[in-house]
Amino acid sequence: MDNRDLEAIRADDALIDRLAGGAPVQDADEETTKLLAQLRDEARADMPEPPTFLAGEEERRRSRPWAAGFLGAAAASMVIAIGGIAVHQSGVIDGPDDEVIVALSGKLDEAQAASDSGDANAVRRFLVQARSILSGLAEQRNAEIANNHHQAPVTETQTVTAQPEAPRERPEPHLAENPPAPEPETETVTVVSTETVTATVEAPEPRRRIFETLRPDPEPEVIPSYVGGAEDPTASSTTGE
Amino acid sequence: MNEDTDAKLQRLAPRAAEGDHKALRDIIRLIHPLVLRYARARLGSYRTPTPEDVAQEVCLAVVTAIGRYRDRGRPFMAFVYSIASNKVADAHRALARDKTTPTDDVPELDAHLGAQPNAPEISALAQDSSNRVRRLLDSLDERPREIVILRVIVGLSANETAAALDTTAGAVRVAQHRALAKLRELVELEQEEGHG
Repeated sequence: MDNRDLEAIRADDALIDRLAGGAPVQDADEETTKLLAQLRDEARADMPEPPTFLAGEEERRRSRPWAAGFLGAAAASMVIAIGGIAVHQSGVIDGPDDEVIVALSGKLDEAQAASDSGDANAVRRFLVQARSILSGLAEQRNAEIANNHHQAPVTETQTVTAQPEAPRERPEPHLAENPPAPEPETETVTVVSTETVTATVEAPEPRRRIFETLRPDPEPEVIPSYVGGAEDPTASSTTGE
Repeated sequence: MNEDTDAKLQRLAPRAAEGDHKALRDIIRLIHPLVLRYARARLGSYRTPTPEDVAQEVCLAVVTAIGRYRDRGRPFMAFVYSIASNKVADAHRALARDKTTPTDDVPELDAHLGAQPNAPEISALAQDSSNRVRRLLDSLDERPREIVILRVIVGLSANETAAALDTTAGAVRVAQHRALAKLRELVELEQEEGHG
């Protein structure tokens, strides 16, 4: 590689840095540069708010009023247990959790089915069974979890995405592969307040339902300013959506 | 992305992996715009799944997988990139299978362009032009295409791109130079054929 090659490499690197930084194109720019800048501007325009998967107090409540009352009582400790599972799934603690999660998921499904058919006794029974499935794990871990993660009164929502098949199929930590569409079953347990704990067990539903839009961020500094003026609306094309 | 963002991600990732919800939310805030840029560079907006769909899926996958992330010297951006590239590849496969969604190619446009700057026709026209760029990029080999997209569209530095792709900044600079040369050739060829 001679000096001329090096010069060309440096020049293109500088050009790409300029494009990456969001610089507007110049008339004198070559067509390729203009085309790339156009796609860049389109890709950076109209950025929606990031999704959040751990919604706060703005949780929507599900309307199952007949079930809410006794579920609130029955599920108070379930919330702690499910919180434990969520933490557990996140890898904080180790253990043979796959079976537990699958079993829990099955019991919650049964509870949901019973709830749908209006059988309050069956709902209670399945929740109790779910609790007993979890009790060994939960009791062992609760102290640790409580110390580490639940020091404050819990006023939040845990969204547990259980993917019954996926964990077994991908022991390798990184992700990259895509589960062959084992539709995740989403069980959302909503804790409304620290005093009166209300839990709603939802039916599996399209995953997008669990996305919430973040409220405007009170800490603007966490929004990245990757590229100088790139976020500047004037640097955007008129492409729109 | 500036280096601060990279450092922030690296700092937040282990905390998020240990169950810190705020750290996880901060990570999603940081990566979502980057992932969306990447998805928009690879996918047109007029078909489903849209880039916005894919970006959300990527973020969900990051949330789901974060517990298995361990900082073993591998940059967090590489972790995110590998998820994003796979999700986009999935989306391409889904689009290839599904013949019922409209094509990216814009149908005949009426003549009254220019009446309103944000008229759908104008957007469609710009979209068509962006699809042309996507087609040009798709004519590159995978590696150089990804480098150009991460550098130009997403806005990563050469070092960050190298980290995401597990290579060196020098290799990135050489590859992007060759990729640009190829793109220039293709554009010139198109112009000779009367496209531009």
